[in-house]
Amino acid sequence: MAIDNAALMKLILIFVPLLFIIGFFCIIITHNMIRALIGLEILTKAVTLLLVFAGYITGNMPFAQPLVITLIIIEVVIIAVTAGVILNVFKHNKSLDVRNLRTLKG
Amino acid sequence: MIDKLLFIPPLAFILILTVSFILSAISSKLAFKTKDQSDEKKSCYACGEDIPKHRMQPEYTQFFHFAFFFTVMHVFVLIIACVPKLSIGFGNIALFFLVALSGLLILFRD
Amino acid sequence: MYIDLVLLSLLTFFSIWAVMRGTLLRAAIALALVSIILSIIMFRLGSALAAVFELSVCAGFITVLFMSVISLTKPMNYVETMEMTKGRIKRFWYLPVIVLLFLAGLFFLNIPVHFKAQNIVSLANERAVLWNLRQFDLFGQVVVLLLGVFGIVILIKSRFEE
Repeated sequence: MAIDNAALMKLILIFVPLLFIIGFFCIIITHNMIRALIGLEILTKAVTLLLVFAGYITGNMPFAQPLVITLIIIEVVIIAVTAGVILNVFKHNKSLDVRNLRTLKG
Repeated sequence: MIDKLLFIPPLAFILILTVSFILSAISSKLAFKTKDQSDEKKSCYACGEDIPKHRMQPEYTQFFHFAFFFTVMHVFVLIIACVPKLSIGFGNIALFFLVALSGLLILFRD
Repeated sequence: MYIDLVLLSLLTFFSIWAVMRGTLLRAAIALALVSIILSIIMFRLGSALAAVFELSVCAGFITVLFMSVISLTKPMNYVETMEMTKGRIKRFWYLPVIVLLFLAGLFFLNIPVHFKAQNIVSLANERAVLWNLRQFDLFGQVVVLLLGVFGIVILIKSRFEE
């Protein structure tokens, strides 16, 4: 596997911020809770890419991989619990709009 | 040369995908279309009674439960599958296994 | 090199698609595609184990969870969907513009690249690292998973009690 390191570095350092921008944009702009979750997922993908890339570039891939695995597990739990919360909110409010959450009390 | 080239998996996949897209496009061109796209045309019963539109909404809550159960089990199994060949302390694996099992039991108590 | 460029562009394209796509179901599928492409990139960078995790967990089970959530929530009828799509396009149309501007800016910015490869331990196997050196990581992972289990149990219990 002969990948040109310097060029790859530049490439990934360009594309990771783009993924961050897309995720942040999605979370900021949208009113739909599921779409906000999708934005969160894209942010996590960017972090995963950055971690793997850091492990590759410093030559410590065996040390980077357990970290990525931990990140993936935390991501799964976050997505699952948030999905449960979204289901409960939908049952309560009959809509997925974030703006309806402002009526919550307590 | 070419017959070997055709057996490279990504290339074969792209070729098959292209062919099926082309087939789909051609058949959708050939398909019979009417200009009448009114609601009467799309309704279920063209003659007689009007059935009230209700969407079947079965109780999928249990499905979510099952999906989460399988996700957690999958993650546990994947971590246990990463046990290295070099022998490490067996108690470590046993502890992990026990904790995983107890978590799954909590999830599926009822 | 070029295949990396293509893969990264596809990654960005599919994530934009997942954000801007009208139907939530299609957005979830686009997210699964993002996961698959990311796992291909991880394979290419030499992290096979993490790529397997990404492929099987993120592209498989998280998509199933998304599908179940989307099917449990009410889909809108046709007219509402069209109105929502118009509103969304009004809100989201400048995302590709921003992305292209940033791409151009970062491309011409000449990011300084001064990382040095430092092979500290090249003998270590990632499995051995996970189970021997990072045992407390495993502990943390188990605790997080148990947390998720309790959260789901509480959420679903509260639904049944209503």
